[in-house]
Amino acid sequence: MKVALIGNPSVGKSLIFNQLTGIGVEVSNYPGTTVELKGGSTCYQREMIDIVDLPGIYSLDGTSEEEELVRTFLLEGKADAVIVVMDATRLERNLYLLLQVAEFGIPMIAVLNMIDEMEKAGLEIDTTALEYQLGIEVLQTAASKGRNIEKIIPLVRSSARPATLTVPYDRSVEAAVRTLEKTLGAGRTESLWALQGIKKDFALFEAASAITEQIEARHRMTIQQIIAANRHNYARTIADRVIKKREARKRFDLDQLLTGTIPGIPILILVLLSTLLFVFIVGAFLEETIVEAFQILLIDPLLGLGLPPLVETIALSLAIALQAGLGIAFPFVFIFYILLSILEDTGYMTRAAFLADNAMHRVGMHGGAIIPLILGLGCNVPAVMGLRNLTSRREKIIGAFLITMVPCSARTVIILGIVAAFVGILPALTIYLIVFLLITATGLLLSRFTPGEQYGMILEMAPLRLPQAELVIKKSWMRMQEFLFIAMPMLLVGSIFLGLFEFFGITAMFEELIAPFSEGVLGIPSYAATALLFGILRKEMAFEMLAILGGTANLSAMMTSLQLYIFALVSVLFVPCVSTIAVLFREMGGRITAAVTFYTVGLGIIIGALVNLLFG
Amino acid sequence: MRLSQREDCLEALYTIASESEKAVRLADLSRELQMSDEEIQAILDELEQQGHIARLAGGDVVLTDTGRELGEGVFRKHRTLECFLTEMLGMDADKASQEACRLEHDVSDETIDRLSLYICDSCPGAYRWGRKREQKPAQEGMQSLLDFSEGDELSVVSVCGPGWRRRLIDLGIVPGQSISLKRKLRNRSIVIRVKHCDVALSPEIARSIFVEKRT
Repeated sequence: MKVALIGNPSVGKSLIFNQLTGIGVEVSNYPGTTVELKGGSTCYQREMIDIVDLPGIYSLDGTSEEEELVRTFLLEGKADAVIVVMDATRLERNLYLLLQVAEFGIPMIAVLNMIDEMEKAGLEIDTTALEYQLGIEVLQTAASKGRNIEKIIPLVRSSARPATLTVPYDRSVEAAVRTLEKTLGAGRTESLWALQGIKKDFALFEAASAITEQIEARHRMTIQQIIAANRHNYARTIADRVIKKREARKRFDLDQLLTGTIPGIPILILVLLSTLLFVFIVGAFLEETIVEAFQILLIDPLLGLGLPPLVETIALSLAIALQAGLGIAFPFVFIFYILLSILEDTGYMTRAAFLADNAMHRVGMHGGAIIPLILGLGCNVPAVMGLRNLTSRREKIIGAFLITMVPCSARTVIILGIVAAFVGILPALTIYLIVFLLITATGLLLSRFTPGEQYGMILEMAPLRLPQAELVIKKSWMRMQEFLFIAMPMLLVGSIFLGLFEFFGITAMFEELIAPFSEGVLGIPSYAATALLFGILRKEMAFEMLAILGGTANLSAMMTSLQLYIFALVSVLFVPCVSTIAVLFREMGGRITAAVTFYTVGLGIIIGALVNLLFG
Repeated sequence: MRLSQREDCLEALYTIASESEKAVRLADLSRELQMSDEEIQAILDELEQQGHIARLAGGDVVLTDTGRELGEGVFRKHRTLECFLTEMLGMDADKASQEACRLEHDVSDETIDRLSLYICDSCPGAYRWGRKREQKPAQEGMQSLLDFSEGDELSVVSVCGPGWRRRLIDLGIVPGQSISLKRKLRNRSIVIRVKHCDVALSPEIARSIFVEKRT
């Protein structure tokens, strides 16, 4: 049996999916994080039940990628039953989607999630009345507390059935549907789609568009508006019948503070700055502890063993890679992810988007694009994937350029580990400033020259919630795993190769080749240029490899402050890492990827050379 | 001088002046109209006599209030017709613009009003990036969300702009829906409350949602 979860964005679908299947899927409190289909399975009474988590959508009649995906999924009968997940506090809006799903005639049940929040808001929903109105079983749940989740699968198994409700459409729409049914034998659902201009069957579409014109002329409204208004009205009727009481909420509305220009924007800046500072301070402390522990417990004993030179080289490379990977990247990245998850789960990200809307317009995007940009501070890869939520190609192109320039946590490691540690805090901040200015300049430039239309922001504000520690940790850990299981092996293998290259003198040959360029243009020693190249694999590897190639973690012993500064600046700016390039290629295609890559390489080298020229 | 030429000239003055918000140079005008300087001078003389323009020292031209009104009227006709031809009839954009140039002089105000009510004035091409000028509401007496202030209880009259219309519809912003304006920043980004949900909108979207006060 195959069951699909369907619902609006951020109604707790993914969380329910997680609890049903036990598989890790990211849950987010802002619209649209589950774009691909996520599947898992569970066993109930010795039967395998496959569960699919469909992307969060507002409607089945739209033309966006997600909406089309869900529509085809349902249309092709891939699901034996559907679970419609609704946010109980936003019942009316959520019913709108349910009414559309009901028209498919697939067996279904409804899950009223977030009843805990509903109770807090002083609402009560009469489940029996709702079941009567919809003609399907309704279950109240609170996924964040795990309440009633275990009852979902048994209920689907025993009593999922097609809904009995019919939306009463406008007379002219009903007449049109009847006409199409009679003349072309089309079903009700297909007829409604054809009327709304969704092409499936050509003859049906042609016939429908002729009728559509007449209806629109008579009503002075588009047919989409008429049909949607009918559904919205029906949803309201149902909601009015089943919502028991509505006490006037007297709770203090935090949004009064968060979304106003005056405390709002200072708060936004404060939140972002304190996030970065917190990562810096706590990360630096943890880093020191871990690195020292590795030194005492692993590296020093290893050197004392007196192994044969080749084995020692390999073992040492491994140990240093482990030390660098776990001790340097881990504290910063993990802490950043925790803070990011907190920001997401509180729903603050959508407030940030709202406040940033005006500023983002100037760089050719709208407020919604701030979410991938902030995500980019953690890792560019999910941020680039977040570009899908932007509407136009123009915005996506600009977004691709800007996101790859955002200093991700790996680059933060470089800035902190090299500049803050060996040059000073102030120079470290100037790197952020330079990057920020370059991002702004790039945005201003691109917004002038990128062809295409400018769309505005239409963003549902996620409700403000208190994040739950357990969920935050789980989500951060999920994101961290990518780091551990993809980055670490790469770092280890890269490190061994480097050790071997060094051992057999290959590194020396390469350095001889590159020396004139690196020393002449950037003013940094040739082994630093080799380290820079490793930054392409993973950004923070540039730093780790510098330590490995230099043979000491005390960088100030081998390079001057200016050299370290230039090294950090260039490696922060130039070339997105391979994973970013790969995901860029998938999302944006070869040309944009190449353009972004060349642009960042050029920018890195030019800025590095400029600093060298000015201060060298 | 023919009426159509005078109207073309006022329209050109209106568009150039609204982009630069300064006096219009003769060179800009002749480029826009693609006429010789002599021809333009003749038209300008006539317009000056009628009190629609004023000439500044150095030959620059500014619109008077009546001239601005007339120019705007022609501009609106042009845009509405162009929108109708491209969006509804599927005509190629250049051709539609030429056609609109011819039709705009003969068409009555009533036809334009009815036409724009039908297609809802803001066709996507009408919003060009970089043009910061505020667009007036499509119909007299119709106010967009931006014309109201925080805390107002409103009801949706119509929604324009095909590009983003669908998402607005799905969030429940359809004619007849009650909404309240929850937040309006000085930079005109707004938050509205619709069906117990808060929705943030950019100014250009808010501008395309026409509303009235709920009583």
